[in-house]
Amino acid sequence: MSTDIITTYVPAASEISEEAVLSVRERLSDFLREKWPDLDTRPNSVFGDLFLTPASYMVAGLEEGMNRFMSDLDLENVSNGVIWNCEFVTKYLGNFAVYDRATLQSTGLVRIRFNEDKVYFLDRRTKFGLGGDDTTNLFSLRMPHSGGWDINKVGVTPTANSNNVTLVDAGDGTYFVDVPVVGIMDTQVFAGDESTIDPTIAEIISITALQNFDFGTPPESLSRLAEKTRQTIYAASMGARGPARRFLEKEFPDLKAISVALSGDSVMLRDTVNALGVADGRMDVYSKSTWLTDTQVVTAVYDATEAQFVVKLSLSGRPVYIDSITYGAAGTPLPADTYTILSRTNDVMNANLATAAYSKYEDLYLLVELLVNEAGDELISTGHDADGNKVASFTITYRQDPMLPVLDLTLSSSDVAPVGVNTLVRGFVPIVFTKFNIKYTKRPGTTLRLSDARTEIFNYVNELGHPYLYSDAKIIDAMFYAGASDVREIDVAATVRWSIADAFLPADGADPAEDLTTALSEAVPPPDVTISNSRGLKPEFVDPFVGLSNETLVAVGARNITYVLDKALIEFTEIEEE
Amino acid sequence: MKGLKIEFGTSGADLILDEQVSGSLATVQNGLVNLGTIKGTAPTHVSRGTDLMLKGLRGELVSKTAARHASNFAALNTVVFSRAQDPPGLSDAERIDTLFLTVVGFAGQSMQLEAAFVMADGTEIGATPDIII
Repeated sequence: MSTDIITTYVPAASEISEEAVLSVRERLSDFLREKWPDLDTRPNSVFGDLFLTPASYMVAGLEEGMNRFMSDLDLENVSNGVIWNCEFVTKYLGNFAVYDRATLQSTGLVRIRFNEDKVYFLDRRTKFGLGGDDTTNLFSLRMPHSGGWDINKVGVTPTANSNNVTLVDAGDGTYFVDVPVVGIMDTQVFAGDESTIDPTIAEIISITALQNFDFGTPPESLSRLAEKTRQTIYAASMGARGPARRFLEKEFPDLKAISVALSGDSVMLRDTVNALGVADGRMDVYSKSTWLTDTQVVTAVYDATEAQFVVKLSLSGRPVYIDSITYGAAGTPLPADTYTILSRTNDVMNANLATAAYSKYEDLYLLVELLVNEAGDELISTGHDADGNKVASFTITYRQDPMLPVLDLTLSSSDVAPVGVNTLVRGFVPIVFTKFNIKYTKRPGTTLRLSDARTEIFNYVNELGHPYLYSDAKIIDAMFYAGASDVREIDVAATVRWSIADAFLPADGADPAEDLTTALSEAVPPPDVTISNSRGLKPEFVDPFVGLSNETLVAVGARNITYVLDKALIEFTEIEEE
Repeated sequence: MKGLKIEFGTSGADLILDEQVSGSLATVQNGLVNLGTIKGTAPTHVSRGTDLMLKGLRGELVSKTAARHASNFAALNTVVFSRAQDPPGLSDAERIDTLFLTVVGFAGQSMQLEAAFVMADGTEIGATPDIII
């Protein structure tokens, strides 16, 4: 890299202040006097006027140029937007593996849909073309382990520590898997974009991008890159809390929030399940990216004893919030009190009860009551499966965090996983708002931009995650910006959703799909933590029944909460100025 | 102090590259340059120079009284500036204590001044610069 220092960094002579020149001139005089004590360098002297003064200008310019150069090396200045040479700073940040988006790989999820439920194998060299041709937006499988990618038949439990996923029955005669891909994105890939695959597999019906892919580094300024560098350069590994967070921020810059809880933290209850009392290292990595809304049809088997349909959910993504469950062709929503979701760990050694929530260790069961009308007629249309069981189909619309499985895979790689620390990737525990009413005043004649305020508040609240927690001040700011003269009250109500399940099943208890009656008797609902004012939106709560038969191991604190606020829930109430 | 020699004459000043001035003469030479420099034209030192040349060019030196008045201010400005620029450790023989400018007369388009530098050690050095107007 060849840089023209004079035009890039050195200011024009006219920009150099007299004070700077005089200061340099004095210092140069002192400097020369050491070697030539008799040399007349005073103003009006020949040497002073014809050489020293012009030289002082040059040196003063170089001094300022050096200051600017050193400013470009000081990432605090760069992160504050003071950049003198963008080309140099870009290359300099490259030393810390912080690149602009043209050179850093992007990660995203693609959904591969097959027309047959069977075992498939994706070669490690498989290429996905998300640019419509064979030259742009070429992506490869993002695989943490060696070998290719095995795709199991529906219902098969994936093998641990391998590139292994299981087909999901879409309910319409097709089967799909979501796999992470990585590559350099030349043009933006949007959710739903079709992809080609090489080599091809005959049973593949379609491959589509599941989300808007994020450039490896968000399309941000050099100053933002520098700020990120300052955060990540000190240490980025999975060795401890801070470095682990930095590592994930560096690897997945599009994550909205990352938090790490360790043994000893109030929200870490996985370390209490060690039967031998040995304090082994545990690390919970809470992550939040842009949630996707997905819809899936599930078929539940009727349990005549309990008069409920029951199905073990096998959703394509990691659900973090259920929007609705509907039945019938018309998509009639199930009333909230007619269905229940139960949670049970599938690996008690790694995570038990609520500590498995929003993680790969949580199995979910959907229970739906048989709805009948006043005349006793069944409202849910039913059929029979191959074994002759009475079944019904339900459509679940849910939000999933697509990056959770990707983080799971990445952190399970032997290159990344910390030695001697049991790591678990989880979604943040959401605090779901049930009321959000802002009482404000405005000056007569003022028109409020409430739509803007609603959008701003919605974006703000839903982006939060450790270390950024809810603050009334931001809401008030948004209201002032929208034109309100004062905010008198922010009336909120919210509940903590420990899991998308309503109750937890013991690991050694009955399987609801096999013995629903026993399972229901063993189910333990978690404590109900409701929040009735904005001061309560940073709850600190740990299951008071730890060690007892009704323990659920729930815990929330600043490190593991996020917020879910629906836009329609935000209400504005104008009150009279007093 | 040591510097290159400037030779002042009726046609201006010449730089003599193979001759030096040193000691008090170097200071006196600087003082003479200052007298002939128009104040405000030096890029770095705003107080450098005098108004003597400018007043002459403007035609303000219409009488001996006016010329004497302007000369006295020029002498004062030169002494003040010269003292301000003296480096530490400069000997008294090289520091101006007083400068006398005496208007000798007008000759054609020029005014003749007689300058007498009194150094801090009491030495007197006389010089007679021609200020072209």
